[in-house]
Amino acid sequence: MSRPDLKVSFCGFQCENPFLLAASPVSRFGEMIERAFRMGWAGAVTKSVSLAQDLPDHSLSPRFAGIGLGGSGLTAPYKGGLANIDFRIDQSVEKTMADYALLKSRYPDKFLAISLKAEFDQKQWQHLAGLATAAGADAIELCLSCPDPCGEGGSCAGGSIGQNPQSVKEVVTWVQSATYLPVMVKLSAHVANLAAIGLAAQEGGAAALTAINTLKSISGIDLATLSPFPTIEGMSAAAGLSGAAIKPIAQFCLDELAGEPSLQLQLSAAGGVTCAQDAIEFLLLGARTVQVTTQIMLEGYGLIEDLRDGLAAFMEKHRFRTVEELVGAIRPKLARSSKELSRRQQLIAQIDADLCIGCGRCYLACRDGAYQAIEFHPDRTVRVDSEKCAGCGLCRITCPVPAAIRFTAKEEHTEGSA
Amino acid sequence: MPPTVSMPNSMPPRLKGAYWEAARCLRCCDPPCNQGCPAGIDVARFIRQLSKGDVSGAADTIERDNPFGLICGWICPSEVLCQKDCTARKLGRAIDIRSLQRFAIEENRRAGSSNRFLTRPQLAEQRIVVEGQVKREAPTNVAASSGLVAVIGSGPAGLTCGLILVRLGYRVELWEKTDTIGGRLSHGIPSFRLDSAVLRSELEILASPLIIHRSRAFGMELGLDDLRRQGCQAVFLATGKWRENIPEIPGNQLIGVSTADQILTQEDWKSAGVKSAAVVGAGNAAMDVARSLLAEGVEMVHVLYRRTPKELTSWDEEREEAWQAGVIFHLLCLPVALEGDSAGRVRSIVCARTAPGPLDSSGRRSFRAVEGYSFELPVEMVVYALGYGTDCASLESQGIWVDEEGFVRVNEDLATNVDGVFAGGDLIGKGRGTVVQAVADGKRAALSIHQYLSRERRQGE
Ligand SMILES: Cc1cc2nc3c(=O)[nH]c(=O)nc-3n(C[C@H](O)[C@H](O)[C@H](O)COP(=O)(O)OP(=O)(O)OC[C@H]3O[C@@H](n4cnc5c(N)ncnc54)[C@H](O)[C@@H]3O)c2cc1C
Ligand SMILES: Cc1cc2nc3c(=O)[nH]c(=O)nc-3n(C[C@H](O)[C@H](O)[C@H](O)COP(=O)(O)O)c2cc1C
Ligand code: SF4
Ligand code: SF4
Ligand code: SF4
Repeated sequence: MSRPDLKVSFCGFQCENPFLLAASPVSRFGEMIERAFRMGWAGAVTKSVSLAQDLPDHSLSPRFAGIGLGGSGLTAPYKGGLANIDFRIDQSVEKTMADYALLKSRYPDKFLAISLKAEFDQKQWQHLAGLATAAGADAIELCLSCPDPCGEGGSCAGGSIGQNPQSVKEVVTWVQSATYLPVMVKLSAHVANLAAIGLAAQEGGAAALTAINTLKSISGIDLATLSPFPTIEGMSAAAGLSGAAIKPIAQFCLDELAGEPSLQLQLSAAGGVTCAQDAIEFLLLGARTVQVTTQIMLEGYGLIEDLRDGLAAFMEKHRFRTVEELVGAIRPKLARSSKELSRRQQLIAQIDADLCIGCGRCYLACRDGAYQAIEFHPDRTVRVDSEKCAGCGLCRITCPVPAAIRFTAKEEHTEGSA
Repeated sequence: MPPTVSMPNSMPPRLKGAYWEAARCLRCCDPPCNQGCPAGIDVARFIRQLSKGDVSGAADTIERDNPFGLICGWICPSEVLCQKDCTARKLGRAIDIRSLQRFAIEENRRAGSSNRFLTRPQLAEQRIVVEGQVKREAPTNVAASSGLVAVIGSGPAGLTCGLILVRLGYRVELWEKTDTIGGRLSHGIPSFRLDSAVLRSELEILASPLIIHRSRAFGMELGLDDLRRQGCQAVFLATGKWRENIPEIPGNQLIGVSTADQILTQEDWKSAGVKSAAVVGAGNAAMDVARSLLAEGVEMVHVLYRRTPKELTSWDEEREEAWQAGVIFHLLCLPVALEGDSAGRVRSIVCARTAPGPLDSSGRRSFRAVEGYSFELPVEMVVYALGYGTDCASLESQGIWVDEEGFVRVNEDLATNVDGVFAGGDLIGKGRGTVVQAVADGKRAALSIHQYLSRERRQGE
């Protein structure tokens, strides 16, 4: 079999692979994006350009907080998420657009979408759309979902527009009439019915949807100073949460969009991609491209090597020839509700004594969080009581040794013992 | 005002990675690390606290059971104690518990907290580990405690016992033979392993609640009868082991022959300008001596050991560091004579090769010299570091029983044969030899003395 083909067509553009920089610090200006392009990223959605960036004042400092896993935000080594406030481009709109135009002229084969952000004001949106079109972009992405209030006097733009199907449709229509470029709409998870927002964008004439933007969050409190993070003169405010922590929510959102039969738009996924596995999952759920921010912010553009090679290896193993083939491939396996799932499968945990290191974590988990089915002996061996085990799966989640706990069908086990 | 706390400015790499290391801990059920700490620190708990960012909670957990928590964080041989059976070892590498311990306390001191053993409002329930079993002891009848207890020796055993008794409400007077407190911490353990400023400030904090008589030795002019006459109702003996073993071989009278303690506790040898030396013995003290010599500019430092690596008693880490520092090891060799020059100075050491023989009565392999194989090393200095014994004569003169090896005999409560006299630390024997075990003995003795005095008081009523 020949090498799998990673190319995918998105918004009418032939992307060399499905991996794009998401609108954020990682795509702030040409020189950065250029470095990412040379390392193998297929394209970028630029940091959202807004007329507010022409204001002379500084962005907030600090503007990031790490969200620790299983510990306090400052000390926990594993950061499950990143929270940001007020990150904007520190350069005039004019210079920024010129920068992007130069970049695009140098890299005609890379996909460049310019992201825009403005208040609910037709003039602003159309002005920006005109600039983006003149810059030679391949698409325009509308940030209708930023949880951070932007614009003068805090009159909220993106966020509130994205909450309302009517205003989404209207903004898309305005932009549509000011450009010939395909329009992508960046969605927020903070809505009651995401599919309805997607349909509104479709009615307005959008070509694609990107889901999701960051989630509203409070980043924790410094107990030494009693000030919230990120601390700015002793104060803070709600921030946008991104990274691994939001991946399950982003996947749920993508499922809502892909599962809506009347929605025909192409989908781009964002939210918590940290490795090839994550990215492939999004493709299998129905995304054609996958956008990344936080993991790049934590480990650099080199992530593309893992994504690209991981996707190729996966496609080879499962005999997918093109990315198109795998987009949405597992959708038939997602039931609309857990009620539709079979109750015939009943499993039982089995512990491999050779692999087990006797830490007793499974015992504690089962004792205090499940069915008291594991015995922990003084010699540090463990045993599953097949009568009591309900096959819930908790123990395997706590075990530090991969494959030490396996699940087999319960009947097999009780056979002959009755 | 609490004494000022000294902290080293630089942080070794092992400490910089503390939060990552703490996150690696598996949070075992019935954690094996807890059984390995003689002082009874709830190791798994303090690591869990650290991994969740609770430094002051971690320091509290450590110091409630070990007032020498910071010092132990520098010098405990954790590889053979708490880290020995750590479950993470089965995933490749034990958790670096000692460094986490030091990190937690140093961070807490930097944040302005003093030793939690002293600053917590009351003595915590104490965890005592005896043969791997953790027992909890909450002293009862504390309100009624009164009386005077004598503690002999200001090493970790004596200081710990005294501190607990003071917290239980007793008056404690401590007698120390030298003019410095701390025992082996101050006279033996070199400063390249335990920062002297940290040690000094730590000892100052720990000694602050105690009445200490310095330069007063227990023995002839201060015996058990004298202590009783002064009103002491119980005595804790913690004088350690300080008598150095020296082999009988020709040439010991030469200039340049010395003992481990002369190197570790005195300065005069440093000015002699010696360039080569032989250290006889390969225990921990020998490793410290060898490294101290190198550190002072002795270029060729030989360690001579009678047996094979299997029988070595020094801790792996100490030996590895000596090796890395450039110490030359000679195994299976036995010094038989020292040769001198015309000025009466050591010129060389003559060694016989040894070979393993049958097992001796204690089950240890014996080693005997092999005829006809010998070699001579040119050296200007010879240091005997062959281990220590107790000062049994002065103990026996007080009617205290000692065993064949010279260690004081005690029962499980650390009581000696003499009513009201207890003993612990290096003084009571084999399998001791660590600061943390001395601390553990100090704890156990204090609780036993409290029980003894409560019983006496009840009987008196
Ligand atoms: C070179 C060396 C390196 C060591 N390295 C380590 C190490 O890295 N880690 C570790 O855990 N342990 C180490 N040890 C062992 C550790 O120091 C001892 O086990 C511990 O100090 C014993 O405590 P102790 O209180 O029983 O006795 P000591 O610390 O010996 O204290 C006894 C005290 O009693 C005093 N005293 C003696 N006789 C009398 C008397 N007649 N009257 C009054 N006072 C008296 C002494 O002056 C001394 O102050 C080392 C020991 C040596 C010698
Ligand atoms: C610091 C920061 C700034 C961002 N700025 C924008 C923005 O200007 N416009 C936008 O549409 N999304 C913005 N995002 C959202 C990202 O594009 C992306 O949707 C989100 O971070 C989820 O992806 P991730 O988990 O890979 O980071 C920003 C994210 C971060 C972390
Ligand atoms: S599957 Fe659930 S019930 Fe069974 S042993 Fe594991 S945790 Fe217990
Ligand atoms: S969690 Fe895994 S390694 Fe630990 S005792 Fe259970 S099966 Fe063994
Ligand atoms: S034994 Fe090791 S891994 Fe287990 S709790 Fe203790 S330190 Fe952690």
